[in-house]
This record gives sequence, C-alpha cells and structure tokens, in this order.
Amino acid sequence: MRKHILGILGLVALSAGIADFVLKSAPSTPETKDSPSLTASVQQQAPAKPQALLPASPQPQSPASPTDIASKILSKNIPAQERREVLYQLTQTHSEEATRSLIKIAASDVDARDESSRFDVSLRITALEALDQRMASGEASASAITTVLKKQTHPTLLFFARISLEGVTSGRPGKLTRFIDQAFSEAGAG
Amino acid sequence: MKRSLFILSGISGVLFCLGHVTSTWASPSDLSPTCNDFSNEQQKALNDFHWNNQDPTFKPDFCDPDNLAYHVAKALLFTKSLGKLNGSALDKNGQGFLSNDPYQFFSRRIRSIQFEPDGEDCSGVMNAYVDAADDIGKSDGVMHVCQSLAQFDDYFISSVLIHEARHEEGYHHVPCNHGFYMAPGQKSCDESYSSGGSYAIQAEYLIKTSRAPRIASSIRQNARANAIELLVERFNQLPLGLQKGAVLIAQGSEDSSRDVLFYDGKTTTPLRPQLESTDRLYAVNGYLKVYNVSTKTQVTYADGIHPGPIKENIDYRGSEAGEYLDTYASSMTTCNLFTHGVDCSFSGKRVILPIKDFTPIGFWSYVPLNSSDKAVRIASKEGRVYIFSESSNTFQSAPASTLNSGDWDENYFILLGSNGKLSFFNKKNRETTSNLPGIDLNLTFTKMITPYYWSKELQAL
Repeated sequence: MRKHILGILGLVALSAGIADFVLKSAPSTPETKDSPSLTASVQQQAPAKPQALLPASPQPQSPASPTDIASKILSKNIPAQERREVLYQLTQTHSEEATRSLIKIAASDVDARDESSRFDVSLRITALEALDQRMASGEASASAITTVLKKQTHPTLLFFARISLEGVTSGRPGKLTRFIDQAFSEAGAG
Repeated sequence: MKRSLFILSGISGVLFCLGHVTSTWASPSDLSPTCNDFSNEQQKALNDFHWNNQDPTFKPDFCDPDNLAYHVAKALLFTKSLGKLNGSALDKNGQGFLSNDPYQFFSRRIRSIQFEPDGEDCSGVMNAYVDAADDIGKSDGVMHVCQSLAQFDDYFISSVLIHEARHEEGYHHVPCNHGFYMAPGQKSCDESYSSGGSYAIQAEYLIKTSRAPRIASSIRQNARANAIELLVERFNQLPLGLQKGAVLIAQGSEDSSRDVLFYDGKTTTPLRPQLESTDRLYAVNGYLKVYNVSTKTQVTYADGIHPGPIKENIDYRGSEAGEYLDTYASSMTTCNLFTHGVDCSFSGKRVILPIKDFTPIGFWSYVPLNSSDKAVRIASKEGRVYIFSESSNTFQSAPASTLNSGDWDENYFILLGSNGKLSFFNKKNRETTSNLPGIDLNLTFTKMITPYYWSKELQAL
C-alpha cells in the first residue's frame, strides 16, 4: 500500500508541475466536454485517496520547462498513466514552448521491434496529431512536421508524419486528423 | 488437473494454437481477488471470475499498484465501468463485433484468470494468451496473464484482454503483408477489419473508448492513437484503400517528360504531374520530393507539385561537381550525387568524394542486411555498384544487375534492373519473374522508391 501512496503523490507532484507550466506559458484553453480539467481526469485514474494523502503544506513546485515536460513524457521510469496524463495536458497547452515539446516527443527515438514500446509509439502518435492540428489552426508551421520527418526512424510514425505534411503542402492541413477519423469511420466502430 | 498444452505458432503479444498434446499440471492455487479499496459492486464483478496462480514466485496483491494482480483487476473494472459503448449506433456496415457491452463480451468467453510464471509461454513479447478453441470450437475459458502485462496502462491492458478473449472463438492471426511485423513464419496480423478477428475486436474497443464521453480525456486520446496504430499495422487490408507498392519513374519519351507511377502489384496509376527533364525525384523517409536542377528549387510532391515550405540545403557545387543527379536521405545520412562527385553528411560529418572512374546514374537502393549497414551505394552505367561509408576515402565496387530493390512482401523482393526492367525475386526458390501483372513489357524505368503507401482516397483527403 505504501507504494500506492507514493505513486499517487508522484502523480500529484507531476501534475502540479504541469499545471504550473500551463499557467505560465499558455493562453487559457476553454474547458469543454471533450477536455475535462486536470483534476477531473486525474481523479478518474486515482479516485480514492489523493486528497487525504497530501501533506498539509505542499512544497512549492518549481516551474516545469518544456524540455522537462517532454523528458517526463518520454521517461520509461514514470508510470504509463502519468505519462499519458501529462501528454494530454501538454496537448491542451497552446504556446510555442508546448509546440516545441510536442515536436521533441514526436521526433524522439522508439524501437519499432520492441513490443513493450507500443505505448511509447502511441504517445508519439498523439504528439504528431497535436502538431497536425496546430498546423491546421496556423499555430505551428510546416517546419514542425519536417523536423519530425528528418529525425524520426519508426516507419509508422514516418508514415503519419508524411500524411500530415502532404496536407500542408496541398493546402489542406490537418490531414492526419482527417485520416484517423476516416479510418475509424470505415471501421464502422465510431 | 488436466490442461491442454498447445504447440504454439506466431506471436504478437498474443498467442494462439495449431495443435495440442495433453499433460498433467499441478493444481493452481485459488485466489480471492480482494482489496479494501474495492466497492461491493467491484468486488462482485471480480468474483465473476475464478482466479488462480501458477507462479510459485509470485504473490498476487490486488491492492499493490506494482503488482500484476492489481493491474488486471483494474483493467477488468475499467471495462466493467464502461457499460454500454456508443449505444446502438454500431456502424453503417452492420459491423460491431463487441455488441454494446465489452465487459459482457469478455465475461461470456472468459471464466478464469490465471497468473503465469516467466519463461515457457510467458517469454519474449508474450503478455497474455488463451488456449484457442480447437477444431470443434471448444475452449477452456482461461485467460493466462504474464508479468510483462503489468507494464501497460490499465485501460490498454483491458484492450489486450478483450483481444485475447476473441481467440477463444478460434480466430487466428495470419502473416502480415506489410510493416515491421512482416517476417517469415510470424503471424501477427488479421486479414481485414471486417474479418472480425482479435485485432478487429481490440480496434473497435479502442475506437469506442476514444469516443466515450464518460472516459478521462487522456485515456480517450491514447486509445485513439493505439487504435489507428492497430488499423495501419495489424491488418493486411489497410484503411482508405491504401496499398503498399512502389513509386516508379518511367523512362522519358521524346519530349523528355517522365511519368511518375504508383504500382501496387496489379496496376499502375499516374501520380501527377509528370517530371520534367530537369526534375529529380527522391524520397526522404518515405516522403517524395522533387529538386529542379535548372531553377535549383526544392518542392514537395503530394497530389501535385506545390511550392514547398521546405528549404533543403542541396549543395550544388557548380562545374566542379558537375550536374546534380540524385539525393539519398535517411534519418542519419543525406547525400547529393553529381556527375563528378558525391557530397554526404553522415550525422553531421561531411564526406566528399570525387568520381573519376565510373559514370554515376543515381543512388542504388537495396535491402540492408542489417541495421548497422550505413553504407551508401551508387549505381553506374558500367553495371557496377560503388559503395562507400562515413570512414571511406575511396569507393569499393561490386557487380550489380539491379538499380533498386525492395522488400515487396513476405515472399518476394521487387527489383529494378540496370536495363530499366522490373522483376520479382522469390525469396524461397530464388527464382526471378520478369512478367509483372499490370506492367507493360515495353516500359522501362529509371528509378523505383519502395515501399510506398498510396491510394486515391488518401490523396483526395
């Protein structure tokens, strides 16, 4: 049970760092039905005891830099749930620093043949789609995705990056998101 | 207790069976899946299953987040909490293999959860498995879980369990026809989504999870990413009619323009527009680019040539290097080939070699024998390939009857000969077939880029 407590404390601390980063670097993002608050989302992961287990006077958290955030998301030493949660917060953060972090994540190495890297691949796909959407909204330039194309080696991630870039060069950015939506629609499961 | 021990074939995080013999196994130790954190309703759900442990070194603890038992229980409770997904709106094609309730889907097929020791069946990439239904459709309803499963996110574990439950009905995997799961003897894909196998079930589950409003947004976001990865990697029939094939540059006619074609093994489709004589087409990590040696402009190539926002630094070295011919690009290496020299950057280290003793045509593409093979190869008009690497100051050469080659599928390589003709090379009997379906025997080609994935639907998207 002790480990459980430490895990929850770690998640809370990490989330506090993210929240600090979000507050310092981003214009506010309206909360919608599709983007619930950090608190709501965290509570769904660890519903039982975090409030009761927090120290009475939490130590102030130092602001998390985009590099720190990307490193945390890419770290295999942090539980999958936490990494996934931090990435979600990053995708909801609209700033140049956040975009740079997403580029770093999407471009980072992942071993294609390592079955245990499936989760790491999924995080990079999410980062790629976030960049795709930022290019569609004019928030990021095509250089975001060309950086990924130059550095990434994983074939599936390269394929998704190519689709995204094709959208930009054909004047219809957001193509990766459209591709995913269309694939889901064809599958008939959505 | 009698238990079927199956001879296993093919792995991809799942395991399925072809035949079986029987052996006697020790009785598993029965478990009670209890933890004070569980509500009465959750406890009742977990009691739906018979739990046991085959691993003498493992102490299941349903309260410990570092324990596999905790994660499997959490995964099942996650599935239970989903309730019905997407109501009755399954799909327009009448598919929807999970019906509406994934927990019901699982619990109707699985009666027992069994923790397995590392080694034997739980080795390599194995995370969970079932002894699939035999020829007459009987299955034992036991889900075997391996310690490696604990590394995953709980919601993703639930998708793995759903996947495995489908195998209980006798659904097997087939060899992949593309991607890095394509390997001799390895069965890691389903033929199509519509075949309704384990990957289809898992994909449907993930897609529905990604769209379920009650689920935490970060889970939905991650489920979306995992679902599209499955749809692209684990089905031989790709979404949006995508075909794996090759981009071919047809030999120019008298007006010097050249067709760029996509070949899928059956037909060729022109990709517009044609290349002018001054255009050089190459690929950077699967993305097509055109360099115009006359205007020295760089353009990207999608559904047409558009002025690209990309400014690659093609180092045109003027009369000293001669005419620009070709570009080779991988993640770590970029090379530009000229009639009188080659200019490369190996992870930032620049290597320039003059070309004096042969007439270069372009870079020679090949299937690397291993991932450490970083050499760059140049095809020549003399019918030899010239090879060099980061540490070279001279070329080594070898005979070459092909300009380009690529891994076509599990059975064939595709070759572009120095005579401009295409052929398939059978990996098993090592025979060459020169009569390719859909390829006009009179056509010759100057370049091939493969693998390349394309469809009209993707282009129009």
